[in-house]
Amino acid sequence: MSDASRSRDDRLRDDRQRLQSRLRAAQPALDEEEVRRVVARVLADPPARELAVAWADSGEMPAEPDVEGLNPATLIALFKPSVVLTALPDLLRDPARTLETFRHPSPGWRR
Amino acid sequence: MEAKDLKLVGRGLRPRFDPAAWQRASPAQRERMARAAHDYIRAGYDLRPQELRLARGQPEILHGDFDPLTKEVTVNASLLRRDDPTAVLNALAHENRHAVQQERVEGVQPIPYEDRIGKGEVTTWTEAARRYTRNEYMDYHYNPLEVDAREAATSLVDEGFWAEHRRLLEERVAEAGR
Repeated sequence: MSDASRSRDDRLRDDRQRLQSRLRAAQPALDEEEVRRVVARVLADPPARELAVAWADSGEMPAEPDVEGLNPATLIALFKPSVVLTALPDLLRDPARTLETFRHPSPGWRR
Repeated sequence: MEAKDLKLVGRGLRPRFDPAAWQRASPAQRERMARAAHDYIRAGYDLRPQELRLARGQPEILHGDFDPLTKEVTVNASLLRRDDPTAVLNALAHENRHAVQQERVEGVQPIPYEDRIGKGEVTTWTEAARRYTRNEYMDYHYNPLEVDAREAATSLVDEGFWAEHRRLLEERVAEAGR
């Protein structure tokens, strides 16, 4: 294994641990399998991973992308972190369509 | 196939719901217009009349919901403050579509075009109802019940109601030009 790929693997492991740890603290009702699945889904998408790791470090989501005042920061104030984290890949690619789903949310999504 | 029927419901709604009148309307008049649109959409969906519930004080992001136990459709009252009625019509079309899905799954409402398309869609909905998740976005966004409700709202509002509105405007412009 090259130094570059080892370093990449180390970074990924580190990101995974920080994100899992933050998610467990923010949403204690999630079971371990759900925590692992949510984190794996976010880490698989590089732009979403960047936002998610920043949230893991600071506890704050960015206010971009924003559609009519709706953005990751406003969403996480209202909805469970696991829902917002798994929405990040779609939110970054197609914010208008993704926010349409948050307008008609699953009853279990609210904090 | 059913999208055409939903477009027709949207086209039929337009003569009964004038967007210009909505813009001029008082809050009480808007509430009456929203309730009338709800009644018309339910009739177009072959649903029995049921009063629309308006939720006050909800966050603006929440546009509406359907309660499968009470079969009640709720729309966020804040949508009535918007001069563009698209959001309120979209919420009515979306949430009432969930009522249709439930009636078809329960065998209350006949399945249209069953002779041609079979019961496949309803079987898919029945399975999808068991898979509603509470903690993740993707599974819910792509759940067939949600996909169908979004498509129904698009057919009724964008491709029906607003298409008819544009047609009426063009007709008026052509008449004025004569």
